[in-house]
Amino acid sequence: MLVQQILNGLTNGSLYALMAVGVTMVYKSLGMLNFAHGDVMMIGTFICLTLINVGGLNVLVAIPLAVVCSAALGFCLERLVLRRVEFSSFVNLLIATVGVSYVLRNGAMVLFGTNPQKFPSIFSTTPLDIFGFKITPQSIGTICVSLALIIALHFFFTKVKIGKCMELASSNPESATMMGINVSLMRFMTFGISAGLACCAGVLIAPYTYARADMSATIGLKAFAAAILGGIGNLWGALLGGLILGVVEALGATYISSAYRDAFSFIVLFIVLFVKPTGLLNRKIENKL
Amino acid sequence: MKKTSSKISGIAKILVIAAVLIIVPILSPNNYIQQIINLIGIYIILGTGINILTGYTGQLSLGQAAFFGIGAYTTALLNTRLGQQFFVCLIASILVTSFFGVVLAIPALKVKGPYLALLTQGFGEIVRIVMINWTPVTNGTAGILSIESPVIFGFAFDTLPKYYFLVVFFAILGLLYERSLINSRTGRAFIAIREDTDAAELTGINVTTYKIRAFVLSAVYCAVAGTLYAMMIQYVSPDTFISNTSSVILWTAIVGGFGTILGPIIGGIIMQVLPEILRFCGDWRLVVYGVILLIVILQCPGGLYPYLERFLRFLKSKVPANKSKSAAS
Amino acid sequence: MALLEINNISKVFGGLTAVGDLDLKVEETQISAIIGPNGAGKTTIFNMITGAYHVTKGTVVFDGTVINDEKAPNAMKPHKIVELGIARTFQNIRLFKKMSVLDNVMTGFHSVSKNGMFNIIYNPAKAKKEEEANREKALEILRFLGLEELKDANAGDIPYGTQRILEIGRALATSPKLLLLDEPAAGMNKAEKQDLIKIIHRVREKYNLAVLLVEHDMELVMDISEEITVVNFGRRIACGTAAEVQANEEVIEAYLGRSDD
Repeated sequence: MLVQQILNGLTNGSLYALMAVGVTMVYKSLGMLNFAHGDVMMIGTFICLTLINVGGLNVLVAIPLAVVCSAALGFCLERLVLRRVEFSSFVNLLIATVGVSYVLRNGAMVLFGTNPQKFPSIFSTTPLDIFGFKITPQSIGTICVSLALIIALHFFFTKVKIGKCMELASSNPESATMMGINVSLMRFMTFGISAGLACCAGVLIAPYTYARADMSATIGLKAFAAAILGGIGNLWGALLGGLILGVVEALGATYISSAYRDAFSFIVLFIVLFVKPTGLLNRKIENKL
Repeated sequence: MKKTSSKISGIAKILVIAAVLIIVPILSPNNYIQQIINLIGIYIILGTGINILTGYTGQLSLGQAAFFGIGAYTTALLNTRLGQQFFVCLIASILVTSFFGVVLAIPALKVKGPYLALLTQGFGEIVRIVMINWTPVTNGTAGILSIESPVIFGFAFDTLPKYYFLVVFFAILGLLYERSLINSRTGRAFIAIREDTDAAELTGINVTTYKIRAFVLSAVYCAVAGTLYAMMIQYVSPDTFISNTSSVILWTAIVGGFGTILGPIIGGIIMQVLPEILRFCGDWRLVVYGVILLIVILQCPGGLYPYLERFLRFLKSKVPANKSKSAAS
Repeated sequence: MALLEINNISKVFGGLTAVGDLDLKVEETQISAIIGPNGAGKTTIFNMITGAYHVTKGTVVFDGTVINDEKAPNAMKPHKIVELGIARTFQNIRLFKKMSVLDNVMTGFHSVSKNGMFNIIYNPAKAKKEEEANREKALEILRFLGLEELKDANAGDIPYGTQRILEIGRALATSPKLLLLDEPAAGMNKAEKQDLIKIIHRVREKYNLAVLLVEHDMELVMDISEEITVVNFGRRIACGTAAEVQANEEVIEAYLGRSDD
């Protein structure tokens, strides 16, 4: 029972991790949590669903297309909204992302309706029996795809030239500028990649939760919680945070109360912010006067 | 001489405002519009509360709907289960939300910026989840029905136009208190914390207690608004106290102009009236609404109040004679 | 007993000693200075006196009260230390930029006044009286510093040198017995520096307080200070009058580098 629940938790956790990675990337380059991240995920999911249902495409064709569309949406948001905000004022930046979230969510309700819609899973959902534990290929696939994407991203940021430029542009914009890197272009790219990742997470989550216009709020918040739990700005932190959150949630739902399932991650968030706001993998920085 | 004339023009101003406020319910054609007008008043109270917390003290909150909801539910429960009347409900709501204000303030003391926004949003979500799931008390998603309208000193506020005066009374009270608070020692401490928290502490301000005070104070405004809301609509459900409501409350203050006394009035009117004007957009109206607000925030980061102020100053400089005439008549 | 006694304090940041085994005394109404090369730990010393940092070792005693101690419970909160009578200014000016000049000074009266959230309702007359008294006192400070004409300007809009003087004004409002000035002359021209020297002397006479300053401008320090403490790598290498310090070999070495290499 316990191991079974941990397995379930890891499946959800890997998805939170995938979302958290996008949050963390944007935070690093923008200095701001993107409160519209969950909504980008939701829109991406619906685009994919539309391509499948209306366009009649195969799931495996629809997903890459949807990811590209979401990345384009991310580019647009950066270009049309966030670039216009005074960066010195963090309140305005935050309100702008909250505003974008509001527009996207209400837009989705008009375009796609408010009813939950069934989303096809990529892998089979017939549970397999492995050493006495039941796990669906869909779960295994979810975990593998998430991990693969995060590892690929790690290599992109540490080994590929453009990735390294993006990394430098977000962690140290001044020296990046001096080295001739176009920081605002890099921020633009970061946003696009983050949005693409959100879409990947969306199409993996939707088979479990259905595609709904209001799926963004809770999952978006959980992504923040995971990113902060692991230590914001830290790729591995996001992964660790996501997995821990998923497991805590699964165990809490089983052993305490399933009705309060969603509340557990927020309580974890409260505790982290109270005990160690820098997260598990980041060191404490003493502020200078 | 000068002092008395300024006093007279002050009284004239008050009379004009009072006249306008009294005429509004007479002119309002139907209950639907009257309800929107009452909601403007309630949102002015909510906006004033977040203005103290975010506009003046600089502590961002995306969880105001939670306080609003706790206030409304406290009133709803006391009224329907225990048959308590307006004042008992109001005071109980204030006490309960104040308690939660402190509960939220304690972790909030440790974080700032986007983390604080997230913390407050998380708080809002937890409260909403409890509202939905704690069925024996909150009656779950169905909400609590048939809350009585208030009777105060034998006068029943049982129609929307009558209720309007109750809302206006509390809105004015809230604004007046905010004004005198902001221009006092406490207000300077709040603003100092917003401007530079460390320097404020090193100027002798106990930042911890003042932040808690700001949270509690904004929670109290939400409690008053919550009580007024519950007894006006006579029904509460978790659907009202979602994160969208928190955003609307925040925008009420920000569209008007953070850190200005009159900002929430402008914001309250715009936030409530705009969606009605946009009815011609059909299904898309909330999207258009969001886009318009986004444009306002991007184009006027200081809100609309500074524009109004400039406009009024322009009027004053252009037509001084006209103005005194209209004030006298 | 001296007004401020720093006994053997150390501050370690993640294994690096920013300040080590430092002793310092400031007598009442004395003007003294801490000097040293960049990164010698001068501002860290200020931060330990004001309670912004907790000392790793040693004690800070002000006016007979322990205000910072290696044992955490004995360390006071910065705002409590302000109440006891230590006020400071900042190296990189930290005024409340969107407040008026007058309000900045009035904010300084926070710790010596009482108005709260409720008495402005139930006792408005008394609250108003206190407010008026504070406004009068604030105006007096502004007059004293020659800033009265600027009282309604936003603090962030006035000239840089004037902002530094205003910071002193805000600090004076807390009625300190010890005024800490962190590089008060930074970014000032020669004339402004001369004015600053005059102001520091006048402040000491009028308010009868001690001044401790950290400053890079040697001319100003030598001119004004009755006692100078020289620190290097967080340690005290000399202490005495301007003439004594200038003659000290270790000091010359610290500032000019070793002559034998």
